[in-house]
Amino acid sequence: MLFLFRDLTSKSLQLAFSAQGYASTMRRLHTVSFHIVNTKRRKITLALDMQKATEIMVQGPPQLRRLTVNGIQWEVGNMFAPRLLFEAMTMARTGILGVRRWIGSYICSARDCTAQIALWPEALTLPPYFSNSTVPGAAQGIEWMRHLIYRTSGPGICRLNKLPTSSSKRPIRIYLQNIYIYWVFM
Amino acid sequence: MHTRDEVNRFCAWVRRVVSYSHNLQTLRLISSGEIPSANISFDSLTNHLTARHFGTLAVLDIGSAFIGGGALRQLCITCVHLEDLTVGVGWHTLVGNYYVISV
Repeated sequence: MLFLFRDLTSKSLQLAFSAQGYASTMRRLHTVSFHIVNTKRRKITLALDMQKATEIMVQGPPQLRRLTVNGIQWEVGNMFAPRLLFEAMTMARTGILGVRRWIGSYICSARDCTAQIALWPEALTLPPYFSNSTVPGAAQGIEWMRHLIYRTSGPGICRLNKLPTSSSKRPIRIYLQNIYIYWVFM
Repeated sequence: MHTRDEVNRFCAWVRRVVSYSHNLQTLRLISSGEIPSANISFDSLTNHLTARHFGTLAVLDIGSAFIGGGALRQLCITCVHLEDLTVGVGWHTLVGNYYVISV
């Protein structure tokens, strides 16, 4: 069961699942959409960022794939299991990956970016200056990405057009169900 | 629908329509998109669904139609086959000063 709760320490709002109950009653729930009404919108500062959305996907009902709150939708790709989402979050927290997201001119934090990897269909970008010498941690990131894709891909689901190498000078595109993902490494 | 009476009559009509469906799996309410300033509760409709169609209902999409916390809780407890849920809820239904709501 999905509910919001207030984090009194940070004064932010988070989504959480109760630890009990949902597993036995809502095992088939894959899409949840909430419209928050009957409230003054200016009082709402819903801090549902990527990290929290990922946590919801990990901790929520096992089939949950889409979460929408007031029109903001978060979706998990079919190829990503919640367990791998958790791995991505863990790696982001431990700093193994030096990955960040770049969409247009907006650059978010590395922590957010790594969670974004598991959220479909957001885009990541690998810049042309990418190389192991110029980008510390790039090799580990590439290995992790390759590992993730190989582990999660199934027949016809995920197709890796070109394996990334440390000498790559061009952006690498990975096609996931016709949605390509760019990666950027710090 | 801007008044409680209108909403109640609408819910009664929907209940009457779906009450004879013994295998109701999907119920979607499609509105014209107008959002009234104050949302009136559709609890009577969801209560009917949890009482009559809890064993078959898989998709419930009532858009931004508002339901209360108790109705939402009951819906999630009883409708075990629910796959897709779209509802309008109040801020205090979902957000409390404590971890107040759990199933």
